[in-house]
Amino acid sequence: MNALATFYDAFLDAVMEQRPRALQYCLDDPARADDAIVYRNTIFRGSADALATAYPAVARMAGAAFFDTLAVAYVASAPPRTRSLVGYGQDLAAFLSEFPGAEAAPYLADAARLDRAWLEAHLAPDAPSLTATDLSASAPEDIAALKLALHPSVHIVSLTWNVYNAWVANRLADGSEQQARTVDRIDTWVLLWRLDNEVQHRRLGQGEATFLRALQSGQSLGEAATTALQAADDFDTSSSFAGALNAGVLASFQNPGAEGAT
Amino acid sequence: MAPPRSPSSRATTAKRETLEDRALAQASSPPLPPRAGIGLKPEHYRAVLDSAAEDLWLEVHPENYMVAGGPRLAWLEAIRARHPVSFHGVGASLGGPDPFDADHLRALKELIARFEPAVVSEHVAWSAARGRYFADLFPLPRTDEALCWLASRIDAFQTALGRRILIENPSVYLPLKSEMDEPDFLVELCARTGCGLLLDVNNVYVSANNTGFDANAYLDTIPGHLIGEVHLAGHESDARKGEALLIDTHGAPVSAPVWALFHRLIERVGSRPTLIERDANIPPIEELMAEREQANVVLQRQLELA
Repeated sequence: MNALATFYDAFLDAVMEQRPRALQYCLDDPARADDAIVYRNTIFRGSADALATAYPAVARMAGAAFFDTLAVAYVASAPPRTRSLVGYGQDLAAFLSEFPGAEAAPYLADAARLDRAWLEAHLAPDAPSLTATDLSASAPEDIAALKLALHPSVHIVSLTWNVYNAWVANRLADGSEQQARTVDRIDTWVLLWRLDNEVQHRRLGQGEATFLRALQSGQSLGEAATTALQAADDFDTSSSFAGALNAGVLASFQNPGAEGAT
Repeated sequence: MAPPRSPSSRATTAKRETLEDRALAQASSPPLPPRAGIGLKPEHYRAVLDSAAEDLWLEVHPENYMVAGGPRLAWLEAIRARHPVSFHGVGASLGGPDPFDADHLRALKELIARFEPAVVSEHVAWSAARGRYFADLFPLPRTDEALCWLASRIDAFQTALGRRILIENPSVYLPLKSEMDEPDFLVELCARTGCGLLLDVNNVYVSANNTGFDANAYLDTIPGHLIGEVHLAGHESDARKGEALLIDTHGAPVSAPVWALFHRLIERVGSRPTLIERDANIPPIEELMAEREQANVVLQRQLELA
């Protein structure tokens, strides 16, 4: 083993395994080995700050102290592996739902799902939205057979807690910290997508959520409407379709028989 | 995990010519002006885009733009259309044991092709090992072995990017046993690879404080022609050890002793593109622009003398 390889191992041992004595052999002043803790702190701070940036509503709702505890545990369990931290923290919602101490606020995992969907909508590829003009190329009787993809930024999030309002309040940069102690356990759906380079979000009814998911899974417009009506008998196909079209939620346009959207 | 020894010292002369040719080929992107720029933060996108400040330039960590699409890239594109931009990489792990990360390198090359940064820089440090990325800058002992390894990696990195880079001197927190002083180490890396230096004056101040050398003597040793860019940032005291251990947090204004070192450096080597670097406790843009103006006064005076 050469000296540099030995040094890498000793450094990681000192910093990651908290054994600073491992570094004494290569210091001019062995008593300074404890200063290796500086790196441990900055490593943690870098990843924890990336998490707090990705999950601003969760950080506020959880409070700084609890979020730091959570971040320490998450970084230890799922350390960064890519050289960009922009998308770091992909599994925080699942981690939160199992995290000791989060039982008192079980809705935090749902808030994390919303923060994550916001980030993914924000970073998604650019793509043009479908317009009414695009649709006018099809004869009216052919519309029901169209397979329409959703814009790549679209996320349809299913929640078991009615956390949407609290989440919105906590996303606002100037909103004060809200503990949201009165969140009810009710199935809800939220749509997040990007329009004109700004992330949008709104609550969805069960029918609308089912409709958009059916389109996403490759069903034609007519099939998706049928699926949505089976899930919610008050589903209104024409207003839901017009709403999605006008909001830029639909993307490119595929002919009947083409492969379904992803 | 053993880094191979580098053959690059034998090929120094040929290497330099190739890199100068490459530098000429990059002439399509204008150089950074020898004035002060600021680190670009998302909270300042609008203010920067609307700014009429003369000779403003911006620096970004390209890793923050390694995304599929969306507003970040759109903002950078709009700002790049008005101002020169430099890329200050944090993810290459030039001094590390792992091979370069193929995804990172590919994404970096795509961003360089798209935004044509005037400068690409990286750190004399390592930040990844055993498949994990630490998002921090780890130190290296200044030994002949580390020198050869770093030179081979800088060489390979420049070849992969097809352009010359600047390398930044580290902030040192541990007094690692070393075979040479840091200025000699950096100058030798430049000689072997044709790269230039991004001289971070705050890092010199922090390292001098933490490991006990004379910051003025260090700066006086660096040949001016190697310095392509200067960084100015703020530091903070370690929570445990206080002033005895300064941490390069980029979370505070540039300190008075760092300004003094900067004055002395610029008087000696002439004006250089100088970055006001702030990554934590981000203040309103007016505060960064005031620090930028403070640097510009020094740079402008030197330009008039020249």
